[in-house]
Parts: sequence; structure tokens; C-alpha cells
Amino acid sequence: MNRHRKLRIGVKYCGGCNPSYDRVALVKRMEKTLVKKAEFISFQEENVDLVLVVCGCETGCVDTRVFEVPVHLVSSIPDGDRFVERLIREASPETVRLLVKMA
Amino acid sequence: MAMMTAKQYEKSLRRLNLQVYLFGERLENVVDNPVIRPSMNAVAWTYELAHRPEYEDIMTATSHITGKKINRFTHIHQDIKDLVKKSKMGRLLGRETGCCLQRCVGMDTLNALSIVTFNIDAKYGTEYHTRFLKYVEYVQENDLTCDGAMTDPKGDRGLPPHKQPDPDQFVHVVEEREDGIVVRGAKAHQTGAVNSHEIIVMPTISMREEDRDYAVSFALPSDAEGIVYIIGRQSCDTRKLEEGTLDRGNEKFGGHEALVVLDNVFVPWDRVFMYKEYDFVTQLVEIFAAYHRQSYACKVGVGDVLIGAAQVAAEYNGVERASHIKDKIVEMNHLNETLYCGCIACASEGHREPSGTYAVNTLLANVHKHNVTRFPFELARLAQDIAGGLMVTMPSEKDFRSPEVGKWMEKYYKASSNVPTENRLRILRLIENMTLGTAAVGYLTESIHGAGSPQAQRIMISRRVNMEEKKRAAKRLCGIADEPA
Repeated sequence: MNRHRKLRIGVKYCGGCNPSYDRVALVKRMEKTLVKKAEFISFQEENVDLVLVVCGCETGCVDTRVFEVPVHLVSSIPDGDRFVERLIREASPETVRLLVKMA
Repeated sequence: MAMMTAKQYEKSLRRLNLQVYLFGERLENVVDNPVIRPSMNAVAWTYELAHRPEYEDIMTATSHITGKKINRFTHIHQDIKDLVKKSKMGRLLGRETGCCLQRCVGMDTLNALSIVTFNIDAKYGTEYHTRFLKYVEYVQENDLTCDGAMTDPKGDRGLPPHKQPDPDQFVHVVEEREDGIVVRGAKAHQTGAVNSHEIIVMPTISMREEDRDYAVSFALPSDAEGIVYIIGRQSCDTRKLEEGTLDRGNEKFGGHEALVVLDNVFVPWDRVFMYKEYDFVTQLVEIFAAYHRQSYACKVGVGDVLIGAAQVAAEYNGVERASHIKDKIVEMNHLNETLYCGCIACASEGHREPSGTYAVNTLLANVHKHNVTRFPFELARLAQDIAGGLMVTMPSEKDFRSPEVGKWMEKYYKASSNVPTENRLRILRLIENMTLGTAAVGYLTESIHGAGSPQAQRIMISRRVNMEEKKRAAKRLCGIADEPA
């Protein structure tokens, strides 16, 4: 695996019935910050390294068992910021599993 | 095409040849009529959000018939999660549109019929269920909006259908042919009828053998020959004909109801799902009603908008820190989230029917809807209290734009110095729209009578509550020994 290629992050949103923050804006901001390290794509695309589940509240109602790759769940803006900080420090496709374990 | 976009939906409506009457005239162009258009926008939103990644988890489902991704409004609930997502979808759409989204009634009809057609077949060896599933597949594949038409005009409420002086007060069969049946009657208060591709008719009350000609359920294309729609008036509806959008309150969305007349309409057999099985009418009515009472989850979303509007009005007026205002906002949230509890609870406590369809808990669905008959009125009262009297005394947008008097409105309706006067007027008009205007039809009166009036829920609550267990618990705790039966 090419250590220098960008991390492919598949984004899966919850349904947004009553979100406590703007989920789409958060993902856009993450995408901008991580532009050199990762690409944000749909969770349905191929060769996704990690599924980022973006939930609008702590309920986290998305069924994550269906994903075959590591999953990271954020349910608030601070959650998203922490995820970004970690990726800035140590992201590469190889570290994804470790990253998810730490989450 | 398993899922239409909003644009495709609008285009599909333009292909229909509906007979629609409004203000005494037949409409040549229903889709672009300014009185009806906001309601079309609201239904179109159910298509639009299904294509957005941030909403698809709620707005879409996987068809149990084809395995394809479909709009949840055409889905037959396959587990508890489906039922919960349906409640959440109601809140989402209510909040995004601030009005009645109209499409829930078709979903509730499809689900109720998926249960009852199976049960009729089990008793009589008929083939309604297979026929019905084919129809559901057609609806799913074409992503259709269905109007679930239950409420007959009912004539003399003291008389059953077969004793009515005018037999057409309940929809009934007037002719049986080799290739189908001919029906006549009407359905009243049909929400979103002219935004629908299909009209699915169900009986409205329990029936006896003498009423068997009235015990029919069937589906029709909404532009079938003999169907006439007469659009209901709404308070302030002609504001939509005026220049500007400020006085509408809600710029884009709304709802509508219609009287749907079935004037000797032919129904082919493959679209008939109940034919004279009068002993299954009560079951169909009760199951549909339970689903539809759950659907009042949308009022939680509309309540979200009203609470938001009340808070913004308070901030614009500069009173948001006043303790009584804070307390009123808390009360509004308390009422609204209590409603949410009911629609989530009846879904979470749902169960599997023999057909495989999941049904909501009937008792809790009725409790939820019964709360909906009351709480929105208190929410509306509190919103008006917070908004202040200007909500109903402010002059029109035309005056606001007038070079002669607009400056006086600008000057004297200014409150918080950093808020444009127009913003203040807009938020007050939204509250007016939701509590007195066109949207009050859906948020208030429909909350009382839609899916059955309050007394209908009280009857169901009395039937479904576990009174024996309550009595046993009380007797045990105070030492009453077993009594003879």
C-alpha cells in the first residue's frame, strides 16, 4: 500500500431527524482541513479505508454493523475536531485501524 | 426508476389530467396554481431529501419485494427500526417544511392493506395479498405519491351506510362487471389529493352484513375518469395570490385538502383489495388509524419551527432574557418533546403481524395522537403570547413597500436595533401563518380531527388499556384477597 496516498474516508450521515449541529458544514470543514491527507467520498464508493459516521446527536442511530471497513463515529463538532487533529498527526491508510481502536 | 427527484415528481404531476376545481373554476394548470403550488412544494421535498446523503438514512429504505433502494414513503415496514425511522421522518419533514407533508397517509394505507389483505386471504382463500404486493411494487418502482382516502362524508351520523337516505354518503359498489367494479361516493378532507398519482380508497367505519356493498377497498390512478377534486379553502389562502411573499409567512411550503368525488368510477379487478368482506372493515380502519396516528410525528417537527420562531421573535423584541419568556419557551419544548416521546414509543413497542409487516403499538399510537389533539394549541397560544399583538395588527407587505407609508412601518416597527424591521415582520408572519393562517389548518384543526377526532382515540385507549392488570396490582398492594369471579 502506498503510504503517501490520501486516506479515502467514506461519509455516512444519520438521517438528521433533529441534529444538534450542522453535520454537512462539519464534514465540509473537515474536508478543507484535511485536504492534503484525505478525500471525503460517499460510504458507498469502492476502496474506502474508513467509514466516518456523522450523527446529529448522541443517539447514534446508524447501524454500523453493515460496514466491512473500520468505522469512526462523530456526534458533535468537538468529536469532529478531535478526529481531524488525530488525522493531522498520524493519518495514513495503515494507521486507520489503530486510529479507530483509539477512538 | 426506483426513486424520483423533486423535478421528476413535478414533471410527473404535469402529465396527469386531473379535474380540479378552485373558486368555482376548473383549473387548467394545477401544478403552477399559486394557491396549490406550496403544497406541491411540500410533497416535492419528500423526493428531494431522499436524494441528499445527509437525510437518506431516514428518507429511504430497502424494498422487501425487489431489494431496491426506495423512498420510505412507499415502504412496507419490515422491523421496529423502520417504524422508528418513520416517526423520525415525520419530525424531519415537519421541521423542514413547517407544514403538513401530505405523503404519510399513502404510506399508512399501503402498510395497513399489506396486513389486512393477508388476513382476508387466510380466512377466505382469496388472492388479495398477492395482487396487493404487485400494486405495491408498481408504487415503489415508480415512486408514486398515494392519497389514502378513508373519510366518507357520512351523511346522518346516526345511521349505518345502508340506511342513509342518500346511498352515496359512503363510497359503494354500484355495478359489478366481468372486468371490474363501478363505484360511487366521495371522500372528504383529502390531504394532498391533487399532488397524488394514486387514490387508494378504504371504508371508514365498522360495517355489518347489510353494508357489504360499502366494504370495498381499491386503488385508482388519480386522473381516472369520473374523479373530481374540489379544493378546500384555508384561512388567508388568497395571500398567495398577492405580490410579494412576506404576508404568506411560509414563503415556500403549505398544504391542501380536497373533497374527492367518485362519480361512477370504474375499477379493474387487479386494483381491488377488499370486496364485500365487511367483517374485515374494522380491522382495516383500526390498523390504518394506528399507523396514521403515529404519523402525527410531523407535528413535532412543525412544533420545532414554531418554537424556533417564538424564540427568534423574543430575541428580535429584546425580551429573550425575561424569566417568563424563558419559562414559556421551556414549556413549549416540554410539550413538543412529550409529543415526540409518544411517536417514538408507539414505534419502539411495535410488533410483527402474520403478513410480516410491522405494526405500531395501537394503545401508544392513540395516546400520542390524543396528545396531538391538545398540545399544538397550547404551543400556539404560547407562541402568540411571546410574539405580541403586532402579529395580527401589522399592515400588509404592500404598505411596507409603499414609498408613502413604508418609512413609518420601518420606523415604528423597529425593535432590537441590530435587527432589520423586515426580519421582525417576517418572523411574526410565520407565527401568524402557523397559528391562524393557512398552516394552522394542518397544525391545529387537522391535529384535532385528522386520523380521527379525539373521541375516536379515547375509545381506542379504553379498549386497549390493560385494566385488569392495574386492578390486580392495586388489590394486591392494599391486601384485598382473591375475590370470586
